[in-house]
Amino acid sequence: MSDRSPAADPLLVATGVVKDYPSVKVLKGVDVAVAEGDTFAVIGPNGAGKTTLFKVLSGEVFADSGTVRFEGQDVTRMPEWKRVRLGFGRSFQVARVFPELTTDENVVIAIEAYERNSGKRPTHRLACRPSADVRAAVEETLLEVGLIDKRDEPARLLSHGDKKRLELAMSLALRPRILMLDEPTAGMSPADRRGATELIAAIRERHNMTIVLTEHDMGVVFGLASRVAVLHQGAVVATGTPAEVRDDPMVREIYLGSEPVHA
Amino acid sequence: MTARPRGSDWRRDVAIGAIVLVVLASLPFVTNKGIVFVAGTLALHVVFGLSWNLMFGQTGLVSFGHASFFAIGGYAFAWTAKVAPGIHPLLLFAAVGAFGAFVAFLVGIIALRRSVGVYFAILTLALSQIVYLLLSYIPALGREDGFTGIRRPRLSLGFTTIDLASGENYYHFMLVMCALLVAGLWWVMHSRMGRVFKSLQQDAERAAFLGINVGAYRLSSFAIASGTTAIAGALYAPWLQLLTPEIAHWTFSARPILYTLLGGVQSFWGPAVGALIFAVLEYGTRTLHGLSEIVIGSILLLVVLAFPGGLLGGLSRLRKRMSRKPALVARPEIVR
Amino acid sequence: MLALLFGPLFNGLFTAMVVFLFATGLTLVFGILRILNFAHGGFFMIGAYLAFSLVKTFASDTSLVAYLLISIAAGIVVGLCGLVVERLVFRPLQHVDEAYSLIATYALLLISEGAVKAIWGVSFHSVMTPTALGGAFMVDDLVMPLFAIFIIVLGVLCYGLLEWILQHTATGKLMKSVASDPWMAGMLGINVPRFYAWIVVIGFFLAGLAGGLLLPNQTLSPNLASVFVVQAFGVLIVGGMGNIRGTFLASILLCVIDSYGSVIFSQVPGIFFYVAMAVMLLVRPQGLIAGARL
Repeated sequence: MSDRSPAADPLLVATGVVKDYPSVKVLKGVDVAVAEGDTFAVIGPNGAGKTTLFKVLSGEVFADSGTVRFEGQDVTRMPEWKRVRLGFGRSFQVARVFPELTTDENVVIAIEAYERNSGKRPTHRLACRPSADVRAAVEETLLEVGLIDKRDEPARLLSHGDKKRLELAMSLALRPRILMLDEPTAGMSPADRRGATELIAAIRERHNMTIVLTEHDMGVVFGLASRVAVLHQGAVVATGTPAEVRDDPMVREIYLGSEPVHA
Repeated sequence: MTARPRGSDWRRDVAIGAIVLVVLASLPFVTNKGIVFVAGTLALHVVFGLSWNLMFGQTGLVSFGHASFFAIGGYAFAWTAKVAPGIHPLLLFAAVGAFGAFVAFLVGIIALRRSVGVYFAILTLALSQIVYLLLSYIPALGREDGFTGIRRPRLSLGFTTIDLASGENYYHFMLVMCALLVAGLWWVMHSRMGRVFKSLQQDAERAAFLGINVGAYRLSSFAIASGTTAIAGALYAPWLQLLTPEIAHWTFSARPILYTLLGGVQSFWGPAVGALIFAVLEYGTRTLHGLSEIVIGSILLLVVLAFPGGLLGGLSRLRKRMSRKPALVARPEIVR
Repeated sequence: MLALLFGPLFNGLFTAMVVFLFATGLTLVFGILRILNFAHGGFFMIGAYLAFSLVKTFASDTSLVAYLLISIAAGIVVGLCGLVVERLVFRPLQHVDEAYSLIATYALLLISEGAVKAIWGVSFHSVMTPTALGGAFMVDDLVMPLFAIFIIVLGVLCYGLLEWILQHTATGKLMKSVASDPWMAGMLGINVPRFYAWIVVIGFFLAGLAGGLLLPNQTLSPNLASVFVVQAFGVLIVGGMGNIRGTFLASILLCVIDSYGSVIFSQVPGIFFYVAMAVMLLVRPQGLIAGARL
């Protein structure tokens, strides 16, 4: 049922991850392996532990036991900002952007963060305006995600879909090796959802990005994912290509028993 | 940071600063000593308030012990000037600033460990209590009677020497120093570092997911604000020529909070406006001694409950409401 | 000999229970509402001054019964003030950034300090200990004032009572569930706003009560609030931010260390409390009992 990519060592590996909260065991020994170039989807019913797994992988919380390795390096207890510098990008279920700042300013901060992370020295140390390089990069990013005409809007006034784009733009600005998208199309209309899926696919092509995502919408999952892991009550019950997983009888039982499958 | 084009910001702010500076500098020629004294103290309080807001409005840190650094600066300057009178005053001011920043760094290592805002708030309050205790009990610093006999130094500038003790020289010197400190704060807030601070104020977790070392930047903000305040305190010592432990007390720490909330958190000049309003109020009620705590507390409470955005926040909302369609939010949401 | 070894321990325990009695209301309000009530110190002071006036007007300061009744009366008056504060200050600020409720309670502290100065003046006052609690036990050369023993016993009893309520009664379960998940509690039919109001009233009542009970120990001055407030915050943090057991243990730890420290280094009394606090926070930033809500 499950198979390992025959290629080189996986980019991101979680082994035996256990995470407890005060009264509940959320993750009970989870193993996932994401190869470079994969679009890896983690699916499962509500409460299966998808978001917690995300948090453990990205560094928002630390696992109680088990390991997380990125490019062979043990990052289990590495705080999130250091993981980002190693190459993690993360978007949130409810898009988090800097609300009082404009779209433009949001991206400026992300790009300046990238420059800082990659050790680039600022050209004019005493300057107040972002440098010309930064401004050019901001322009390019805004064009790529289609937010160029909203650049002077305070981010809190953007529509939900636009906020997600902005957040995506900011994550991309950091040139991540692996992009973690927590329910990227949550709360979107079908039209928005198609647009988001196309955007993610375009980004993947353009940057040869490895993506890990959680989703409820099966259409998005089958449209984007190259490999899928099914999480149920804190453990992985199936891994494989989307077709394999869809045909797995246990998975069908989990889903047909509890949730309708979105077309 | 606002939605307006970059360029107009600094021109406007420089203009405002220059006008205020010219007005203040001309005061000794047009009014009496009393007003000049209030004006000089106001200049220091403007720095006091602006540096607090670097932490609060710009970085999202609430400090209830900002007065500690004002006191540390003042006493460090006064004591060092007394035991080592040969040190050049400008060097001493710089050293005191560095010392203030260093103390903030030490405190910050403990106080900024957890990102819960209350933790930092409590520990800054504890700091002010510690400083107050130390100042009240160490004999060399004068204890409750205060540190007296602080002299205004002679300032040698290579080509000339200015005796700051004569005439209004110290007043003008102080204005220049305060202008430099304000300019420094302005630069920090508008620089790349200032933008990182702003991201922390908006959403520290999101900033962490951009690879920003949140702890280190918070520490920097705390250190810069504290060092600046220490210099303001150091300027205060020869101005008043007397220091008492009261300037470390947490009631004095309420001042920058009040100035900022009164004048406007999100605007650079907000705390300055608040300081001015307060100075006017204080001067107007100076005969009613002992009411000051009630007045400060009540105004602070009223402002928090009625206008979280302060006066300038209210004015800008009014301006927006009158020029365009109504704002989408009735009350400015202050985001963590 | 005994006085040297155990004197500071006894004094430390006494101070610890004083701080604990003061900090209980603060811990409750913070543990449940997550509001750090700076004004707790101010209202403690008002309670103490109120009790002082009541004693001077109505009773002799030697009667034990009067002492207890007046303390309760002070608590009730202050508790009623708490009702007003909850309605006018806490509730409107519930949905605004926590920084603003911090500033608001800080403003309340300033106002109460000013009010005390305005009503009672700045000079110092004091009352005598009730006769029943005067005197002292002596063991060898160790002097243990009866009043101090009374307070220590009271503090321990208070802790015991609270622990029992929290761990073994339905009310306690209710408090803990509202503390850890108010939204869920609301879903389950609990009137959370009214519950919060009750907690604030109780917290203020405890502040006023503590003010009255600790009155014979104090020299009343408007500076009372500052020392207590900062120490209470200190034990709150070192205890683990909002649980009763932590506050109790932290009070004992910090006050006993401070007591011994003040003997060794008496030039700056009280500084060891903060040294101990700083060390504790460096070593264990999450507090003695981390993660517990109440």
